Amino acid sequence: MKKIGFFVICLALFFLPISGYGAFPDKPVKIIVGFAPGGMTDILARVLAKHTEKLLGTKVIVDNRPGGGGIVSWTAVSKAEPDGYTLGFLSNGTLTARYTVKGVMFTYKDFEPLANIATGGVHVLAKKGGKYDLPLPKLVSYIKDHPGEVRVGLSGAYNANDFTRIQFERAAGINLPRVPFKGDSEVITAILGDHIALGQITGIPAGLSHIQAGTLNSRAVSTETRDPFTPNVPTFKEAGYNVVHDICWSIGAPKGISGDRAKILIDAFKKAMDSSDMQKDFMQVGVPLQYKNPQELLKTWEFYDKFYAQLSKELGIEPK
Amino acid sequence: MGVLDNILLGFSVALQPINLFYCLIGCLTGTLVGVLPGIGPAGAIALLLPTTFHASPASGVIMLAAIYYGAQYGGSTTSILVNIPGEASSVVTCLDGYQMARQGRAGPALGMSAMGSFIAGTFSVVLLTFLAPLLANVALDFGPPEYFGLMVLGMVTVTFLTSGSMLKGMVTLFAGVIFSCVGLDVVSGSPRLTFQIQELFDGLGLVPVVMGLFGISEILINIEKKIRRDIYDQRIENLLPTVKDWSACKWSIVRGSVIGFFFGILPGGGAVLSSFASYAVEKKFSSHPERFGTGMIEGVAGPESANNSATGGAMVPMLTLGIPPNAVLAMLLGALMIHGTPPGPLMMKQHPQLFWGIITSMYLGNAMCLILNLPLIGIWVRLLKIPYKILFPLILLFCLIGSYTVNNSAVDMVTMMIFGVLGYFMRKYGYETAPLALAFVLGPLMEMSLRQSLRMSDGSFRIFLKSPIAVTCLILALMLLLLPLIPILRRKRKDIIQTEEERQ
Repeated sequence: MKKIGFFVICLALFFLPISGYGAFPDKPVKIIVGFAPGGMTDILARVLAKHTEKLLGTKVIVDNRPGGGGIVSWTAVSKAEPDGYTLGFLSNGTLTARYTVKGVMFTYKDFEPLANIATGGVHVLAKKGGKYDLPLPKLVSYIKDHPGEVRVGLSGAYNANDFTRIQFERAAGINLPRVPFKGDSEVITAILGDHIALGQITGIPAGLSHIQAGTLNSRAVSTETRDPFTPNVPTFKEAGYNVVHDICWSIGAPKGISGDRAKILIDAFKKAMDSSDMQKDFMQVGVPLQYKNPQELLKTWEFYDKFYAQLSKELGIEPK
Repeated sequence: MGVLDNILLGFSVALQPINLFYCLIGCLTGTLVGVLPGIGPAGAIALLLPTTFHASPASGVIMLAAIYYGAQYGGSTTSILVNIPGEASSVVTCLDGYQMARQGRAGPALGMSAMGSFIAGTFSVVLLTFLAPLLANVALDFGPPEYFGLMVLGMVTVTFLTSGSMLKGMVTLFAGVIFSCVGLDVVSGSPRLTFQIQELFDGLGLVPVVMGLFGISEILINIEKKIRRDIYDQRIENLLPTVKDWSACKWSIVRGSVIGFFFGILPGGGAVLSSFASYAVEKKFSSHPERFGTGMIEGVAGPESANNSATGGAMVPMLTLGIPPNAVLAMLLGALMIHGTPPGPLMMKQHPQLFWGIITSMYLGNAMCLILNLPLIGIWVRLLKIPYKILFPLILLFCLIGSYTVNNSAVDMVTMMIFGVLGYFMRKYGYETAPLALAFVLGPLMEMSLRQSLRMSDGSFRIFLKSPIAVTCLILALMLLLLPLIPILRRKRKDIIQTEEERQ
């Protein structure tokens, strides 16, 4: 049985490089993902890979390199040969990394923007019908009246999610301490079990089934406009607090990729994003697809890089 | 009545030829990746995930789930044969399983582990079928303070894993906790003990650490000894457990099944923790605790049943709450999401065919795994006849490949080699490696839950006294620690150490 397995692997390896000979791409394109298989970033990358394969005429392989909240993968991409065969899946963490973690060598300038894939927001969740399931202004006055009682669970430290919490604290003039968790699903467990008052998750996929089932309620989302998956949930701005924070998932290549190769990839990603099949798949996963062309994507990167630089300076965060 | 309808509905899905086929493929793949050290179910599912895009959701998920529980069948094989855990949850199986193999009883060890796995696997699916909706909330009852209590209890049970000096056991325990501190601090995000190596930001990998401590060190120890090959040639024709083995193991399997299922429900290291807990319990219940570690078949049957039963338990929060208790099930959750059927509170109502189809396919899958595994025992046992000069380089090669494939990282290979050398010296000087491995698993969970709890209470330790679950766990832990102070029991422990010294 071992022999058969080995034979199958050999066979697979043998056939991989042959598919689609000719001009670029004539071998598989690799998308490096900085998170473990099965997470939201991984699913996004795999759905994208599935739909771009046909357009590029070659295999698109998702290569998981988990570590340091994505830093390991982004370092690898920034150092990779800019031949168009190695791409990276980037997010806000790519921008926050150098302001918060010591030894991070890359900036957004080390990546060539190809396409923005999806944009989501940070959702503020509470247990439906619970004590803290209040419209945002009421929640804020509750927090002001009961200092030291309400805490928010979220995954990570000094990432986009955590910065959103700080933006909210400042805009509302409240103190909302963070309890760290590993991953959004742990946050959801803790809210459901009444272990924590509120939770913040990035994007909605992990919580969508609970919101639909009526066990959790989202009370605000940090995007500029409402999340299409939760049309009844107001944005922070609508609720009266000046908090805007977009979480953007995008595809980038190592800087220095030749113009015509970049164009082939950019066209393929745009076409894939336009296809209704892919939009349907993203609908199922629960992530709002949002295409941005390279110029628009670069603007987003520049904006958020400045924003994080400013915020970490104000908060006195030193890369450690 | 309702349950019966659901089971019939489930079987109407699971018994479709195409789904049976996918289930079989899953069981085969699972057994294979379970046998190969390092390459675990998580990696296999990641590789096969894209192939399920074109299948129906039920077929795809049935296959991926089969890989998950199939891997627990295969995981014990290398533990028993060559002292290398195929999966983290098979670490304790090394303790007695490998000793059995050295006594020429690899066949019964493998057989008992397969039968125990089957019984426990089926048991847990039965519980899953009848109790899933009721048990969903058990996972929710465990918040940070409760987890801290549980982890303290877990750490204390480590002392039952050691058979030698208590002091040395403590030293390895603390070493394990220190090694588990490597990586980005979850609260502040600052790196600890990473020496500016980015690959260490997520900590040392469990797989390379465990393979190094057990497997590589075993090779190093063996090449320095003149090995008496005849050990392996004795009674090798005896492939299945005897009646005597069965009577020794029947309660171990039952206890393992129950322990495994309930640990499985809890998010976190369910399968790993349950196998350790089961071993500790077997040692407590046994009338010959001193003989554990020398090839007691109960020490194989209990943990192997527990880690299989945990797979059924883990499905409870996954399917009913959409909360994946471990990385493998996170991937399964991903697969369900890609197919547009996210698991969660609504799954049972919205997609009953899928929900019950997956569950009932596990009955069939467990039977398939047993049928696949029993004939393989003969082949595995024959592997032991391969001369060491061929077998050792092969094992080393598989370990290197295995440690690399987890994260595609060369740092993991180096980690494995370093821990191999560490394990070698530890064993030469009489320090056991199992407590280190368990502390390494529990350390981060314990730290996380402690710091979460204290952040929730503004630094007050009273938060642990407010939770009945945490208090119960802490009292149990305290009792276990105080037991050896009672004179009669202390003498017993002395006896244990004496026999241990005689053995060496």
